[in-house]
Amino acid sequence: MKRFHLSLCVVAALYPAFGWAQDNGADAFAARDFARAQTLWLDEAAEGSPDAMLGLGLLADRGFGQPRDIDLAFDWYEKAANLGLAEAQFNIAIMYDAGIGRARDAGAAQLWYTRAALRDHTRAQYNLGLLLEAGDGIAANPALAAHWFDLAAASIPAAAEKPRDATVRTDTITAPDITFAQADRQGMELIWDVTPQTSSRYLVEALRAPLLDADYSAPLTSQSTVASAYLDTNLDNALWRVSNLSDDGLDYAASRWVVPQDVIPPKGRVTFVIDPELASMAQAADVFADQLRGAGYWVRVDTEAPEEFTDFYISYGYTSDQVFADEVAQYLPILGEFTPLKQVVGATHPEEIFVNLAALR
Amino acid sequence: MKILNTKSIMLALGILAGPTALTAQEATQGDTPAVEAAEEAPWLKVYFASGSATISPDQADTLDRAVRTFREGDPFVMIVAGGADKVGNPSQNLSLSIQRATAVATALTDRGIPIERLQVLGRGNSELQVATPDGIAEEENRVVEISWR
Repeated sequence: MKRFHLSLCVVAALYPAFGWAQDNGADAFAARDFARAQTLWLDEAAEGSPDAMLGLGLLADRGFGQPRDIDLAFDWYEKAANLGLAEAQFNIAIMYDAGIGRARDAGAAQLWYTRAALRDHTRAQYNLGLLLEAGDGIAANPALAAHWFDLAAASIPAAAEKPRDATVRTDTITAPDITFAQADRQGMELIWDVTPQTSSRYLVEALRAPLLDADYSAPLTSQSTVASAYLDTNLDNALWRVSNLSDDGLDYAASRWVVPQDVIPPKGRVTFVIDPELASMAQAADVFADQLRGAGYWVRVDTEAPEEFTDFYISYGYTSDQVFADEVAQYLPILGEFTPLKQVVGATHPEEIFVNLAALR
Repeated sequence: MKILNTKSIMLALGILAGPTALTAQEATQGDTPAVEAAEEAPWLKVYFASGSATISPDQADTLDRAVRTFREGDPFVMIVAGGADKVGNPSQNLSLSIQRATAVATALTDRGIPIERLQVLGRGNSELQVATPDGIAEEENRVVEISWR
């Protein structure tokens, strides 16, 4: 008797593993048991499962096992979409694009297509391209459309067949307007407005703030892109921004910083290069560093200048930073009448300058 | 007797309610607007030249519209139904309607609609959009209707 009971216990414990019961919503749905799918999915959704939320949205959307309810479908899709599920984001975008259960909203469609497109959803990439190509309720942008068609082309033949218009060269740069920014443990996502009349080059920077009075380090990411969005799942506690770069790389226009809580973005970044043999130079650099940090700048003290800077005193990469370089030059009480400043294109990050004290001798 | 009476009462009631009921029926059967925003018994039409199963470039917008309305997920189904006008014999027209539907289905999958969501149908000369005598060319009958649920 005891052995029999034991065997039953073992079998009972193994029961779920045998798959005899449809113990998750997806299985129940596949078996067309919509009532059970709903029950199971409600439990799973309560535990935070985006797939379950999507499933509940699909049931409501098609009216499976319940009266059809477009609003309820949208709500469930939205919950899943906010958790980063691309299929849900795509469905939301479709509902905005086609005006299903609501007034058409091309801007919202663009945003949600973009979120899904960033997650490699090829239909979203293609539809986003169509939306941008047609300028259907949003500003038409053939260059950006071509970017998304390019990404979708491997899976979607119609995307591959789209004409690739030459990007219109322009000198205009505009500070991007960030339309969506999310930063959490899953990573960071940044979407910005792209005006068709400006340069189509963008630079996304992600930095981590230095602790207290430590030197600042190289950016976590410094990525050039023509898209209007960026997603990185590996960065937390970083501050982000995106700059519109001019076609010739000479200048930029930066967006605001997106910062984690309690982090203050830098007013600028200054790297001092010193000759380690000269103690007085090192001390001077430390004093300057302290004062600049007190004024909200991030500072780094190095012992070697990059090759492009060895001959110059103060170097900056972007035309807009000449003012910043000038201010620092005014503040440094070293030289007489003139202070050689030099623009070395592409050699610094936006709002960063190099001060090569070692070049002074 | 009782039954007859009940029946005649019901008939009487039916006559009184008649016009409303008829109107309601007309509303669902005759009233098929193009892609409504709120309602979803939607459809789109792709038009074809006489005898042709080739999709002309000016029809591309309709196909793009379809892919920008069709959600993603297991339960959604897209139905592509081809037709032909009454020029030529019914057998040829059935084949033609199937070719047209297939052309549209291919164009839709080329635009990213998953093939496992598709149903393809050739209606031939059955269920014409516009009733015509034999031999009459009618553009409204040379359509592929895309619908979905």
